[in-house]
Order: sequence, then structure tokens, then C-alpha cells
Amino acid sequence: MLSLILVSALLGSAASQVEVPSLDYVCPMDPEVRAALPGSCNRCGMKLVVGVADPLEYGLDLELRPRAPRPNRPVEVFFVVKEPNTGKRVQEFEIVHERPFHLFVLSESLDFFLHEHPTLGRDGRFRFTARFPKPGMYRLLCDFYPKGGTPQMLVRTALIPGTRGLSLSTLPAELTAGLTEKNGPNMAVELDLQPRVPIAGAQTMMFFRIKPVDGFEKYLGSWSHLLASSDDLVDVIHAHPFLADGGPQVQFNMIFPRARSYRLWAQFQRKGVVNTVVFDVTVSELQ
Amino acid sequence: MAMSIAQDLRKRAGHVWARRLPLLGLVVLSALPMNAHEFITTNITWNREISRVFHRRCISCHHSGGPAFDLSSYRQVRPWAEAIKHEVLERRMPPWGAIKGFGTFQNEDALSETEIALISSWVEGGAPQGDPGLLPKQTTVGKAASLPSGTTETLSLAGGTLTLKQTVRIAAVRPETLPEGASLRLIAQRRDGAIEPLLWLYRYAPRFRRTYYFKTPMTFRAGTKIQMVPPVGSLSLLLAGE
Repeated sequence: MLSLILVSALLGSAASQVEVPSLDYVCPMDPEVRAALPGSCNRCGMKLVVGVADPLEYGLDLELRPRAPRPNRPVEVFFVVKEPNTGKRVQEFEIVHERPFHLFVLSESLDFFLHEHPTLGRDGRFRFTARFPKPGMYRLLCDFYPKGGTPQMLVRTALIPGTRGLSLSTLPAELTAGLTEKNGPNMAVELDLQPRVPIAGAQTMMFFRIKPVDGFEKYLGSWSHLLASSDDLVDVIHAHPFLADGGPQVQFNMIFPRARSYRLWAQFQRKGVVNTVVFDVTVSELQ
Repeated sequence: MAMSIAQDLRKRAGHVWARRLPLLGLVVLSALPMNAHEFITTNITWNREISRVFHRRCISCHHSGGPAFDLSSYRQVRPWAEAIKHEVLERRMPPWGAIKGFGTFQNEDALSETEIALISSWVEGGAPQGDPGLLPKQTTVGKAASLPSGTTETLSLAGGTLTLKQTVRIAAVRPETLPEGASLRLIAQRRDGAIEPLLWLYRYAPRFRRTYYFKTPMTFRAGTKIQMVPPVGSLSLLLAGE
């Protein structure tokens, strides 16, 4: 009892003499990252902002030209970002990871993945030339940060007809869970999960280990970019490392939403070459 | 001015604690239980981030005297935090019942990916309350969508495909008879070959049946095929006037 009183007295004394930092500066991309003073996010490099952000969702119009694109032919993809309250076209964007717009494209069967960067035209439209390899549904995850707003992560859908219209699959993508080492063009990547079988709704730590590590460099301002999609394309998540320092281990923390299979695309760069490796994981219910 | 011994000791003690407090603060903070087994491991708080999401997305139903139990304050939310996380991650709540980014709607109240991540990280991190000074001053309740004026007719799509016999402006889609838990995608195949996503219903819950109003009515010419995949039930297409 005496020791408790003593500790309480010491704490009371300390608390009365030292102010606890208010941690008012927040990373707009990762709200877990806080600081008492201005600076940059140690995870993504973004400038920390002060104040309480109101993460309103912006409008995003998608247009394909031609309107009925053919598989494997060039198609112009346009995006128009609209202010949530006025509907006015937004023309100014923050640069995030070296680009104003990151676009991820996934096919319904999850065998097609693209990470590209539409460019902003003078008319305020983002534009990108794509080739969709086969007929079907494609989900487009659009990652951008309007000036004066908050970072946006919005999904849109492109439907690519075949010669006889469109046949949508009613089954989820076929994924086979496995953590065997994967090889990119100039590096090998291992993945270790904790817990070994992720649990829906609980945090999973993902440790990617790369080799060789010489020449490992940041890709678009980050040691790695990770995209995760559920086998039914309902959950599409873009993440950056929780811990990485240019060494052989890159850690991501992720909460998988549902007990399903997920495909992960992890991107690393070594000696100027981007390595995209794919892992499939099965997420279980909490027992 | 000469300092008394007592003042000097207090000052020295203050310096020592000033150096140790950040670490000590973390230890003490980590040890503060939200309940018997939970610890705070997140910087996201109810007062700063989560209350704003709830006020925007949840309390139009979850308020005192509303159709669902009250979730307008930390005291009311905290005991349900773990259950709320799972409902949100499973996309059962809010009960929008459709997948975002497949059609655009004026009455959409589904959570964004950013909001889902905020809520789940907050709960996983112990669901702290935070600084009361950061709580939003006003409650924001979403406005209810209404039918565009002139909406009078409906077309029925009972499984499979409906080929339009004349040009129509579709203002909204309303599920009619669908099995509980059904998921389906509704698409429009235009005569020029273009295909538009209209609606992706996900795990249909009849008790939350609602009408999905497009952001703006969509015009389709005669010959357009409206297709339900898989053909599991019936829907109504609500037409807008000229």
C-alpha cells in the first residue's frame, strides 16, 4: 500500500511539473502518426497537418473512350474529381508518393494487376491509356489527395464487353493460399504472417523479407506499396509499410475485414527495377 | 537570488521526471484498462475522429428516440465497440446493402474504405475516448433522398434480362422480391456495346430494404438490355419524367 501511495505521489508530482505533448500534428494519410511539432510522416513522408480533418468523400466520375472498349485495345480512361459540397471540378491536388493520382486496376479473376499514374490535363481531368486484357469487370482503386481536402481512396468499376456482350462471373476468384518465396525480376521475397492464419477483424502483422538487399530503394517515395483484394473484389485496400528502413525486412500491419481469401500484391524496387510479387492468404473467423 | 534547499530538490526532481516522463507516460497509458483486458495502442480517438464518422454516417438512425439504439456518445458506443467493428467490416452496417463504386447514388450512406479503416483501427487499439475539447460541436444528420419530380412509372425486372422497348430515364432501383442474403449485380448493355454498372447488391437484408436513387437519372434508349447477374429475384426500375 505504501509503495502504491509513493508511486501515486511521484506521478502526481511529475504530472504537475511537465506538460504532456498534445500531438496535434497528424499525417493525413495515416492518422496513427502524430507529432507535437510540424514535420513529415515517418511512414509515408507526407507533411503533417494540424487540426481535426473531416474526411468528406469527393465525387469521382469515370469515363471510358471509346465507350465500348475492346479487350486488349487501347482505351482512354478519364477521371474527374468533384468537390463534395458544391460538385465543382477539383483541379489542384497534393503530391503523394511523387504523384497526384495513383491508380490500381484489378480484373475480376484477380490475375490482372496494374499500378499506374494518370496525368492531370489542363481541363482538370486525369487521363490514362489502358489496355484491359479480356472482357469482364475491372475494379479501379483511385488514390488521390485534393488540395484543401483529405486523402481519398475511391473504387470505380469498368465493364469491358466481349464479342457477345458481357458475361459476369458469379463465383469468387480462385485463390490458393501459400507463403512460399516469390521471385520478382531481380529480387526474391518471403512473407511471414503473425498470426500465421490471419483472423478477420484483428490486426495481422505481415513481414516481407527481401533478398538480396543491396540496391533496395524506395519506389515512389515508399519502401513498398501493398494492395490487398478479397476474392470477391469487395474489399480493396492500399497500404504502406508500418516499419521499413531499407533493410531486408518490411512490415505491414493490416486488418483483413472478412473471413475469405485475399490476394496481396507487394511492390519493391531494386536497382531501378520494380518487383511485384503476389501472395494469397486465407483469413479465418475468430474461433 | 539564492535558492532554498527544498526548492533546489524540487527542481532537480522535476528535471529527472521531465526526462523520464515520455517513457513513463507510455507505460502508464498502456496500462490504463478500457476493461479488464484492453489496452490503448492507437492514437485514433472517439472525440477526434470517430465521433465525426458516427455523426455523419450512423446517428441519423442511431439517436435517442430513433429507429435504432442510441450511438451518439462515447458512453453509448464504447460497450458495443467490438460488435460495431465486425458489423462495419462485414459491411452489414450502415445497412446500405450495396458495394460502393458500382453505380453512383444520391442517398448513398455506405462507409468509405478510409472510414472503415478508422473505425477498425480505433477498436483494435482499445477504443480510447480522447480529448473532450475535440468533440464536434454540432450533430450532422444526413438528409433523406427524395424521388425526382415526375417519377411515376416503374418497370419490373423479374430475373434475367429486360430489353427496353422505348427510351427511358431510370431514376432509381428498388429491390422487390429477393432471397435473404442474395448478392447480385445489375448492369445496362447499351446498343452501342457500352456497358454501365448500375447496382451491386451485397447480402440483401429484406428488413433494410430501400430504394437506390442514382445521382442523376440515367437515360437508356430502346434496345438497351438491363441484366441481373445472377437472376435471383425481382427489382423495380423507377422512371423519371421528362
